[in-house]
Amino acid sequence: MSVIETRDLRKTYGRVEALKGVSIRVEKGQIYGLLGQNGAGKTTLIKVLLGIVRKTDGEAELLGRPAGAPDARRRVGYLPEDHQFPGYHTGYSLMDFYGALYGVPVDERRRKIPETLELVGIAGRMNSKIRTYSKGMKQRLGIAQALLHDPDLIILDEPTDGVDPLGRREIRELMQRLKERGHSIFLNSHLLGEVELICDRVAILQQGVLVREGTIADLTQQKGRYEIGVAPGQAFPADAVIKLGYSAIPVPDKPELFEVSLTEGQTIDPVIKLVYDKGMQLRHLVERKQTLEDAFLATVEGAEPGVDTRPRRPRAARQVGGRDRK
Amino acid sequence: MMQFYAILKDSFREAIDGFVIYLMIGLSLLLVVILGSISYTPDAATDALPKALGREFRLIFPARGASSAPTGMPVEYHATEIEDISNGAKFVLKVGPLKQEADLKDGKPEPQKRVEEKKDEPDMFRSAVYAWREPAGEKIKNPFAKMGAQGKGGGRTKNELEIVTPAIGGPADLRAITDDEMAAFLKYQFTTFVGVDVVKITRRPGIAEPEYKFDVEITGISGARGWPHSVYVLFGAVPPFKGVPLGQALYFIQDVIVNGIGAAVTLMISVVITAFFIPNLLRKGSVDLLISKPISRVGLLVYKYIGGLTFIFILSSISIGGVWLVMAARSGSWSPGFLLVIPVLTFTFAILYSVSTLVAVFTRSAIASILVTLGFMLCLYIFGQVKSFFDLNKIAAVTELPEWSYTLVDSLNTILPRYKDLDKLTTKIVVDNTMTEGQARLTGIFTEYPSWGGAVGVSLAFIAVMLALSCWRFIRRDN
Repeated sequence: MSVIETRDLRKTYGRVEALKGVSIRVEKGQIYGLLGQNGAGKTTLIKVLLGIVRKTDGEAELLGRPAGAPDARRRVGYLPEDHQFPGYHTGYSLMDFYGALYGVPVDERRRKIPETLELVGIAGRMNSKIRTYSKGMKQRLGIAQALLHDPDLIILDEPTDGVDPLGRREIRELMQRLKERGHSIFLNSHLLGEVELICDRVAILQQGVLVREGTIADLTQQKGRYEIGVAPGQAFPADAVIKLGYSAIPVPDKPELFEVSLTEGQTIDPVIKLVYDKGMQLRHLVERKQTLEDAFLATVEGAEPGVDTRPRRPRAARQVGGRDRK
Repeated sequence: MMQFYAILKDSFREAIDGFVIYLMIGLSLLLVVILGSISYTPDAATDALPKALGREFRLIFPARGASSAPTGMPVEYHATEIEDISNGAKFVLKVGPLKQEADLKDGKPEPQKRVEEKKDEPDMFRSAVYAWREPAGEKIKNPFAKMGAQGKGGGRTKNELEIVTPAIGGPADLRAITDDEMAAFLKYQFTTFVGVDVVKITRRPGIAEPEYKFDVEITGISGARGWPHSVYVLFGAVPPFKGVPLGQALYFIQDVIVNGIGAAVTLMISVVITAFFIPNLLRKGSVDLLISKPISRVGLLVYKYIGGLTFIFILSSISIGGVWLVMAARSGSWSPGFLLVIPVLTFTFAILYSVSTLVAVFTRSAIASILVTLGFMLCLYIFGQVKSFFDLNKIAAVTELPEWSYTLVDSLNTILPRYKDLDKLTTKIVVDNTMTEGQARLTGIFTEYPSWGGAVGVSLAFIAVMLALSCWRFIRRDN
């Protein structure tokens, strides 16, 4: 069962197209990461799902209900980017307020608020005014308010923004625990290292278009590129490999290794056979991978950043990015 | 209901977060203390009775008080042999024809002249009792117009100034007036215009008519609305105001100070404080959090609006409730009508806050909300004054105004919230609860009191339109 599903989802603000036919599907129990440059449409996608902004076209479903439906929102916890909590609340009273809006009974709120704040590590300051909180504490409070009503789906927009490295690790571990408990998490983050560590699937948005989607392994895999090395004292037969129709170049900073690239339809097996036929001993063979950051940069490289698509009064026609993508 | 309560609580937290609310509560409590420092001591009967038996005492509401329009008779009342008793007085009430200037010489009556020239005139006191007992005579509408101001707006209102001619009894009718009817009439006059209870009133025999003497015993002067009192301010630290009818003192404090100046200041400061509620709710980073919760946008906005109203409700409850309590304790007048000012003031604020909400939803600016709302408040006040002048002109025909101006004012009054009308209605509440019945009825003659239905209904419709526009905008808006 999918907890989020969009089909050809479109959103325009005036003449600005923020989402251009985005189709994604998030399954129950997954941690799903959404990546993209500033203005790529990530936050707009989340807002459409929660009914904060209205879609222009296409379909969007949240927990099997039309996006924005109150009964679906009741089962979602949301931490927005750049959230601002009223400074006149304490951590406890804010949780109590939001819990009441979610319909959490008062007894349950009394019990769960300290527990949840303990979970994010700010229970000791729960009776202090929020205006005295640091950025990281506010972020932890934001996560806590999204968890209070035990939602099926948790949508976190930049949850580690402003949080120190130790805190980031705690939040990652928290998300893992939530996943183990059966919660689905939809994560929007610029910190690609974190996304790579915890997400099951990732989508990359670029200027309102879904440009890549898949598992972390799918995105980081570099099909057809191998690092290969033979025993010390032996010379890798690069010329013979090239004669077989492969490319073979030394790996920078690792002179004992060569990078062998395959073309369409080729396998690495003939190269291995060649090494053995020449009486050499194979000591190193690894299919090369890239980090998620590499994959992301490779995907968006060359593209100019999008625009911040928050609604403004339309004045004149504006070009999204720096070029016509039609 | 849980969501509604949560937002009310949130609004309350927001309201009490700043220092202004504490300043306002402090000022309210200061006002309560100052008004609590005022004491009202009934004047001695020797000083008070001549004032209490003054001009208003001569007015008559015919049909035993059932007629709303007054009439009058040239009768003079004079108290002698006054004896103060506990919370009351015993005295002899002399009644006779009112002495005209021509009847006086060096301020003294000329008995010979009176007997000679006026012996054929009807007995004025018996005529007064007859006029009180019988239904009113001819009604005279808009008497000022008849004095040369016809066509200046007369006949445009249901509430034209109306007086009546007294029922005129023939000699036999007047002779048939009994002593008991005279006593009942005087008892009614004391109750209606002085507000005291008459324990005993008996006519003294052997007095040649048209003079009369009555042995009167009254009680309940402490707290009697028409009885002159000495008003001590700041626990007597300053010289007292003497000879002030209690009702007028209470009316001045409750209507002019509390319901007038105090309410205006409260409304203005409340507009400023609550103007931040909606913009704060709509602030980027805050509104997303709220909209993502399972609550409709209409519910969110309306609940927040009501949250703003609870702010002034609590504030006015503290100040008006406190004022009422101390004034009642000090004056002995426990009439609870003044407390109705609390919901009326809250409702008046509801009109202003609906405008503030609309501006806030469109601009998200607290400053814009404050400026527009205070400007709107000023416009309503000015229009209210204009409308009052036009209403008075309908009654008193002060000046000639073109027909279209009446149409314009009446049309605007139909669609605009009844800010001034609500003020008039609270004034009426105060008048009814502070002044004697007679004074209240006389005040009503010169004031065109609006109907509660019209004032509340049109204002409610205005609020509904403002909120509907606000909700429409909030729903349509991508946040």
